[in-house]
Amino acid sequence: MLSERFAAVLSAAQEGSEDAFSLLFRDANPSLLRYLRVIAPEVAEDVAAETWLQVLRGLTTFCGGEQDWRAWLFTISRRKVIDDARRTSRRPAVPLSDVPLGRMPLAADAADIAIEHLGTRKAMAMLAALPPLQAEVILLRVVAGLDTDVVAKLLGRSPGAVRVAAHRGLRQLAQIAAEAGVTL
Amino acid sequence: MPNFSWLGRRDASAIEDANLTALLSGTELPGDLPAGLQPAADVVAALRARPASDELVGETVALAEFRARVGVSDPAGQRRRRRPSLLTSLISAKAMAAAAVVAIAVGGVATAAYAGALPSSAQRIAHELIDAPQNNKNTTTTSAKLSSRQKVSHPAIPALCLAFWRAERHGTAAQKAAALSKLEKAAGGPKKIAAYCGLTRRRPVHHHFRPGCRPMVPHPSWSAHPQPSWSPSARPSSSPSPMATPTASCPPLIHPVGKPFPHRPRPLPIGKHLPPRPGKPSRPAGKPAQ
Repeated sequence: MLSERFAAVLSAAQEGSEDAFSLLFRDANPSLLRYLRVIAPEVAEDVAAETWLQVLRGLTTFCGGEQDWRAWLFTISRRKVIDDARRTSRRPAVPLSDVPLGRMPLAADAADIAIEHLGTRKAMAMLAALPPLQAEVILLRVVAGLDTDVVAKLLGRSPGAVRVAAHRGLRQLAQIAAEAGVTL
Repeated sequence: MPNFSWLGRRDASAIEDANLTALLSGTELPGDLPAGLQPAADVVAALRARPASDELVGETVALAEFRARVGVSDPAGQRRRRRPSLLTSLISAKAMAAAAVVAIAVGGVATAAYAGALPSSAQRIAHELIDAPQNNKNTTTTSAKLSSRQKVSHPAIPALCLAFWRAERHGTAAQKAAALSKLEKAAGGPKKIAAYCGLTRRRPVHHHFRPGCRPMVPHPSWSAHPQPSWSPSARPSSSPSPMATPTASCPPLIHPVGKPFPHRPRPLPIGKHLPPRPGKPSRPAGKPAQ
């Protein structure tokens, strides 16, 4: 996250600075892809690209802080995942219980991924094994960097429910990682 | 004799909850994490790892779209397409007070004002209203930069600042050191970088996440004296200087699927897609408010 630099960078991007927009993209796109590669691995890259197209349509009129910016990004991408799911026919999906830990449910070229980032992919695979709400809450809190209240609004839940789901998810993650003996 | 052992268990549970919350927020843990939860901390750390090269794909396409929509290669076309600049609004005699206050709220022009980078007439207005420097530092350079927009460095953020931030986040240690060295030289020293880059410390303003939300009403307690304190190694302050949140006149919150809140959407089934709803057209995509 850009923290105290965000306001200045956003303003510069809205005025046409490519360097500033590049900073915004490079700051947010990895988080966006990590979120999408867990909740919608088959369409992650396409949804991310469509998200940025929509963001660019509204960039010059956007007003808000960094939390608002990230919430906007992830709201758009989440809606696109839902829209995509409704447009396409049923797809055969591998039950998550059949996906062994360590085998990433991702479309990227695993062979090309640097060794240092295998830990991230393993972590994402473990998240995919959690109940959907817990996984999504942890993704939005940790990867997207959104506050509990913002996540609650995005998901239409109470902040308390979000907090409980996140904590339960972390406890379960600890158990999954310990049982699988996975080192990150 | 009453058994109060449950009190100890409750305290341990509260500490564990506090630790889990800190893990999620990325803040310092208030206590020692139980050994059983350490794998969760490892997972969280892995989720927060630096970006991989394959996670920056799509930047070229996004930049091309940015140039088409926001950036300018045809200055004549840009004059026809673009909305009036806030800088132009500041110069208007009738609107100068209200426009300057709006500019403060937007923030970007405020930082330009404090860096002395506005056109001279706007700079004088900013000086009277928000105690920005009276004189424009570099009028001709600013005007020249604003008029040639092929690759624009925002007047309040010199290119060296953006280059350093980029190297800091995505470059190697050598690239970061080289960018920092250039920035320090241009700014006149490490302590002057904050002012050079036009950064001020402010408490994050949490609007609802509504594109197009423009603060409309000035708040009387807005600070007129920002305290720039950013430096390359600065940590976010735990007690930022108080700044009132401006009252916003914004369109109502729109739920991601088009219904107003507090509609409760279903959590997305991980790795699977929702089945299509029979006979129901897809909702139009949300648009930023104008």
